[in-house]
Amino acid sequence: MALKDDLQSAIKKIFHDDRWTIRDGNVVPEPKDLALGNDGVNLNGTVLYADISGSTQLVDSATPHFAAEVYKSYLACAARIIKNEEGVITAYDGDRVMAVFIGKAMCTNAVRAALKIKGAVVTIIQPALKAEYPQTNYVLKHVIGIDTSKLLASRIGVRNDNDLVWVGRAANYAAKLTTLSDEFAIWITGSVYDSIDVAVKFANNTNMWKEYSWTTMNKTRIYGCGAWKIDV
Amino acid sequence: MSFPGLTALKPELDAAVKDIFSGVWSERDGEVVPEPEDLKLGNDAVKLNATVLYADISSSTALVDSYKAHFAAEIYKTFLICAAKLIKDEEGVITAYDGDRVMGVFIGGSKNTYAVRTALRINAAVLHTVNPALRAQYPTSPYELKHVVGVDTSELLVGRIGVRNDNDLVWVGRAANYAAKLSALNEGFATFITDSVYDHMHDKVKYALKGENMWESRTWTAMNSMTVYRSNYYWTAI
Repeated sequence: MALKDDLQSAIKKIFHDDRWTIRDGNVVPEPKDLALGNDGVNLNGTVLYADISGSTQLVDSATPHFAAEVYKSYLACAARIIKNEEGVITAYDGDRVMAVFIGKAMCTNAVRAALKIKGAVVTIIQPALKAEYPQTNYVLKHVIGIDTSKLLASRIGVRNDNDLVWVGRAANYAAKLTTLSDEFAIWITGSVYDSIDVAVKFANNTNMWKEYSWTTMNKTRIYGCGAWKIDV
Repeated sequence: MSFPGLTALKPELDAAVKDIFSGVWSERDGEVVPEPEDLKLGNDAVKLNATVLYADISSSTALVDSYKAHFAAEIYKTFLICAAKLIKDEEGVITAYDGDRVMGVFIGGSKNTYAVRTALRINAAVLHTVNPALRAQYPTSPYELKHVVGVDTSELLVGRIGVRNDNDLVWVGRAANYAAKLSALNEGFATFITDSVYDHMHDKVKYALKGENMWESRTWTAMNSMTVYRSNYYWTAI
């Protein structure tokens, strides 16, 4: 079958032939949990994206090995911390990681993971980098974005790929939040802020979060955490 | 204040990070796009000359904000299936799906031509297959799929992140960054390529049937004013 016919029938199947079977999920699904057609899992989930900022300048100006060490350190720490906070890593894509948290404490867990990643950058990665490369003036900067919403997970249906799509506001907004200014290492939406535990909202009786209006996104209420430093 | 979890994890993270920064790199030139199991967990790397393609749905935020979830899912799925099948048909390898975008890597002597032809074929599939099928099924919907493909080429270093059980390759190099950034340009063009790609691709993906150049140059001010090329042309036969 010519590829055009193949694509046409695949598209017709999705838009027309297949009825959706959608169930509510209690765990973050893996590709094998979903059938190849219009099969979906609905979840209330909190999505976290963690992204190195200035990675273009890093790959443009440093040696590839140095850049790779920075990428690996950041992603290795982020991945371990996310798992430790009961998040599930759903994608690595170049230099960023996407994770989904579910359950009652999903927003608090995701925000605590973000605060720990921020702590790890300052107290673990940066000192190790300086110890190995005393001459460098490179400072690792990163941005983490978190949003929460209903999500629909479904498979793309091209065999042998780790191919879930995540449809829902949180997947989009969390990714877009990571493109905001890295003066704040963590950006969360109002929906996340309203659900988190005081333990990740206040430090020494001071609110760690500053409210902003996200002008390019219908003035959505968002919060940035920047000045707060974690003393491990 | 300290976070109990980080304190508990700190020794493990300290050790992992120290290993990464102080470890000696073992590196080889790659002839194929590696999979995670081809790389060891330490500072093991494969070096490739490669062309990277990112295909991204534009305005997906408006899509998920304004339409039903299963409608948005159908759009995502049709677009990603078309992109994935076309990437594979042009001998590219899909290296990541991430929400609503796909990353493909092309290697070999014709990598730029194949990647650009993939981009032109994705545009044809969106214009002539996905959108007509969408209108046929949802005649009253105002939604029209738009997308952007970004393509760049450079040397890439591929390593593993080293957390078990994940499909966890890092792609380090200009092409991975620039291709992703190009696919985020939202200015009414379906394909963006860097001058390095343009300068190495075959004439058959540069000129249209009547001999006119399919590409228009633009200065990318946000990226050191480098020259990039954009196009709304499509490949006539998908």
